Amino acid sequence: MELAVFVLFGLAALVSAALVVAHRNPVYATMSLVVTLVSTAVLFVLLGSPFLAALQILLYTGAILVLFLFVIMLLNIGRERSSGARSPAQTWSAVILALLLAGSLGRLVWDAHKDSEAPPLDATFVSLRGLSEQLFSSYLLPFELIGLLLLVAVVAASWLARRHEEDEPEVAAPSPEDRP
Amino acid sequence: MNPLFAVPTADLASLAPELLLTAAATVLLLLEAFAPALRRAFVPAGLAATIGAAWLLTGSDSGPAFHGLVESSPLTRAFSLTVLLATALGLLAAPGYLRRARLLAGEYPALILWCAAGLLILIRSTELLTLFLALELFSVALYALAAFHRRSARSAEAGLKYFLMGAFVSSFLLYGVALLFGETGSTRLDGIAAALAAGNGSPGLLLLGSLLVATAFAFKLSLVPFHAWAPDVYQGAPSPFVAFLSVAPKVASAVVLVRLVTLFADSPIGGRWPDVIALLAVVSMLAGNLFALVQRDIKRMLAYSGVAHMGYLMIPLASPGNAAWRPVLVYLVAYALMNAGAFVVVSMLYPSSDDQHPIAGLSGWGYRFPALGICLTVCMVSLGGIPPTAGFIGKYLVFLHAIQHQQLYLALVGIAASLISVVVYLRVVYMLYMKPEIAAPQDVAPDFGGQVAAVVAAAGSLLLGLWPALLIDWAVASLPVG
Repeated sequence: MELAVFVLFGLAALVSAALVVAHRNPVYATMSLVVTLVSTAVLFVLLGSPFLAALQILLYTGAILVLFLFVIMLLNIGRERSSGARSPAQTWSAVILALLLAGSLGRLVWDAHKDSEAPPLDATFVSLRGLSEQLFSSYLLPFELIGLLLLVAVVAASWLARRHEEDEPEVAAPSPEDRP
Repeated sequence: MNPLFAVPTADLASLAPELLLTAAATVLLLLEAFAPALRRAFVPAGLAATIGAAWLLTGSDSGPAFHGLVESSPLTRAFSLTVLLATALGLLAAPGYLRRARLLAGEYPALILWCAAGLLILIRSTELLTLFLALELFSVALYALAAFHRRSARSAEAGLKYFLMGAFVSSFLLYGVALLFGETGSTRLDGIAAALAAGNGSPGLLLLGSLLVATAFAFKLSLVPFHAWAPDVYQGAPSPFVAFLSVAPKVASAVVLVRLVTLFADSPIGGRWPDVIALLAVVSMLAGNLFALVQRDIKRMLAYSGVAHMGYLMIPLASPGNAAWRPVLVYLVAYALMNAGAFVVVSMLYPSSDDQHPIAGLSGWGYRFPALGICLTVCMVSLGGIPPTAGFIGKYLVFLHAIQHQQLYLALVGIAASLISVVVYLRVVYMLYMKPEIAAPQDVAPDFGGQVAAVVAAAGSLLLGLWPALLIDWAVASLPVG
């Protein structure tokens, strides 16, 4: 039963992840990403961490991907136009290199762990209490750093996005030939 | 309150410089919102916070803090002071530019101070999660600052290019951290070292993980082949910010790279590490200087020269060990002074928000702006590694280290690359003094802060070159014996 669930959702995660990259329409690509994230959430449950799975669905699929969809729809991004720049040779060399990387990575992981069985996560460690005790004692500093990082990102984004009254274009867009 | 979650006072005290920088940035941002009339005082206030942080830093205690996620030692303090020096120089030069470009706002000093706080934490972190977050903290601030001139398309291009490449490289770092954690079961550097020494984990995956982590910092150092962002970002970003960008993040990233390479090279997976670093050093030194030779834009030229300088900096790492720290520290202090000084002068001599900074535009200006001309000349001579300047002392120690560790070829390549670079830098001096003036300067009005920064940088380069004992004694006192 567990193996069947693993195979099903593992395959779903892989196929939908490939679709995210391959699909020309950004809305479909985002929806494929939803499937990827939900499938990995199921894998988290199988690994014994329901809390992480719930967070994954709440935050990533619930909040972040909805934001993606909003942006795509607000900007009205249509199908990706195929740029003439990409030649078949480029595509194929990229595919071959990606397969080589995947193959050697897979080989390394297989060699390293074919005999060992990963121990299940400690239930008290991944419990809500266990996680928060870790987060707010040993890892308090990274937790606060994330807060600061978000503040910096918000300030940075608002500076770049805000329109000031004194802002009128005064510098022309660069032309490609004026670069040495 | 549950005592489990109480933060010991000693931990907070050890974080005092970072806390001061962060708090000052936040206050500046609030003042921007509620008291915009004070805008002219924002950058000086940021400068005061930087100096205050440096003062707190010199008085802080050594030892680990926050459950060993960060540490403080004479070594981290020495490099942190170098970062704060670059921050102060960058801030001093900023008001003139910001006023001209009508960008005077609290966000600029706030982002610089947050960035400096992130760099200080990066230097001190001994755990990969903290390290990653500190890297993201300073990187996000850098991306926004590169695009700070919102009305300039080149500045936006610089910010976007830096952001896209930086985000891509962050994923390399995370992948590497995941592999290292998966194989060793620890994200702490000492835990990883112990697991490596015990022979835990698969050597292949560990090697891949360590290479991925090192790649991220090689990108921040703009070593060849991870240098492609540097010329475009330097050219488009505001010049006083480039004085900061071209120095401070490199100091912090170099510290992490020395830590990591020393860690990996001592372990069973370390066999080929010195060769990898030596290759990066040779390629960066040669390619950086050769590309710098053909640039017409002074900011792009300095970008490629920065690539070459990071190549020289890698030479001591090709024979890792505690002995590598001393040349690295001396080199970085010299680099901070001369490179920040060069960009500070450039920001005053090229005042328009026009995106071109032709070297030929400086023709004959050495007589028109005697003080700035001399400062730029000293910085160029120092960058070229000609005595009696700090740049010479840095290069001397780096090459000496290579020779002492039986890597004569690295020293020879370095000397050959330096010879090429002399042509690069003396071309600027030649333009300043030997050519007739072709264009009268327009709107060049060097401001007081910028001139102070330029004089401090140039005088520092000269002083440390004339009395190297000042710098070397300080480095010896700060660093473990090697």
